[in-house]
Amino acid sequence: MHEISLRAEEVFHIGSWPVTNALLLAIVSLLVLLSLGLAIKRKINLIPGKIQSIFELLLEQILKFMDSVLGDRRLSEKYLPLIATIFLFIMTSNWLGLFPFVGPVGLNLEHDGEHSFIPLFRAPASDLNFTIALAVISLISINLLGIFAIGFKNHFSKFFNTHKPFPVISFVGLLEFLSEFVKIVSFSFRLFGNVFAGEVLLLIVGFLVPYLVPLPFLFLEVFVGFIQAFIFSMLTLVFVAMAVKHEAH
Amino acid sequence: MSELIHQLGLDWKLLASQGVNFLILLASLTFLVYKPLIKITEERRKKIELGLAGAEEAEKRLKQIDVLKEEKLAEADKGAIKIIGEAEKKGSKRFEEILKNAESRADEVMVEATRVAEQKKQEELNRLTEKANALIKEAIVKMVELDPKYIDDKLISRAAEVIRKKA
Repeated sequence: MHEISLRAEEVFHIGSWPVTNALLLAIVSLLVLLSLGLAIKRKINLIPGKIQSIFELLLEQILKFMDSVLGDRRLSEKYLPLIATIFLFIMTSNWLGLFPFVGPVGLNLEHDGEHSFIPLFRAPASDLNFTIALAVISLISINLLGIFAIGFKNHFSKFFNTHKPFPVISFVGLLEFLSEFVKIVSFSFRLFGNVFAGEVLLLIVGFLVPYLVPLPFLFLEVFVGFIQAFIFSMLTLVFVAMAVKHEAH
Repeated sequence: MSELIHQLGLDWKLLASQGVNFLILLASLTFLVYKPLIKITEERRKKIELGLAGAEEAEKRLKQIDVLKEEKLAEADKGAIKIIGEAEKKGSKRFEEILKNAESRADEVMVEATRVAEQKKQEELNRLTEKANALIKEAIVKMVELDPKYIDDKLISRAAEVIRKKA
């Protein structure tokens, strides 16, 4: 059993730019989704093929969920790229992290005279850099979409205002502003915690009882991978829906 | 704090890499999948709506055509009945005319036939009269030539014989 590390291991450098095993699998996820996207784009037709039908079904389900939150198909289609990409990217990277080649396949590197095994791939969401980057992009997108939808002044008046009763409302606004930054922490640590815990669980169970016993846990992690992607994208959607609606005071 | 950040493996370069990675995917999927799929779905929806509207319109028109056909058929029936009635009237009128003409012609033919028969009868009578005259004349000549004592029986029988032959 290789060492459980909270941080993603560096596999190599491009100049001064580090490339970790989590980043490598994130790039693999990107390539997988891009290949599917290209396949769809090439064969897109009014009468859909198999891949197009599957993607249309998936997007239709996502749009239905978005409709239930936004209440408008036009708005759902407008914000679909952000929500669907978050969902697909997290789910794909989580599921790729469960493949057998993730973990056992790696490099034996010598570091300060010590031999250490570094897995070539690691589930991207088990690295905080991945989850924080997604959370930051999600929060920036939420605020930008809010500004585009209701205007800069209206959007930031949710946080900074002098409505009566003056000190109370202003304080609540400030708390709302602080909670925007807290969202980054809650988004990123929820995803990181679940996926990292799943990885550790699978590693320990696989080490203790290698045959059959890890199977239910593997299925559980497949479900967790899906549900965490769903939660992240749905929370983003809910915050987008709140940001793009102008609240009258 | 820096120790915690180090332990968690936070690195702005990795953050940026992961962020860029996601943004590339977002842009690519928007261009390759979402927009084309939404466009094609919308196009398909419009086509289906158009097809359904067309089918509905066709059905509506078919119903209108059926109603129109029924009306035309009813009109045609009425026209046909009228035409047949008129034809029957004309036919019976013509029949009466023809009958009347035929009767009149028959009367004329009858009159003509009667006249011709009368004329022939008259001619026959005249001819008979002439023949009778000639016979009588011949009989008288024969009578004058014969002996009076034989005149009675012989004369009568000869006269009768002549008349029988001539008749």
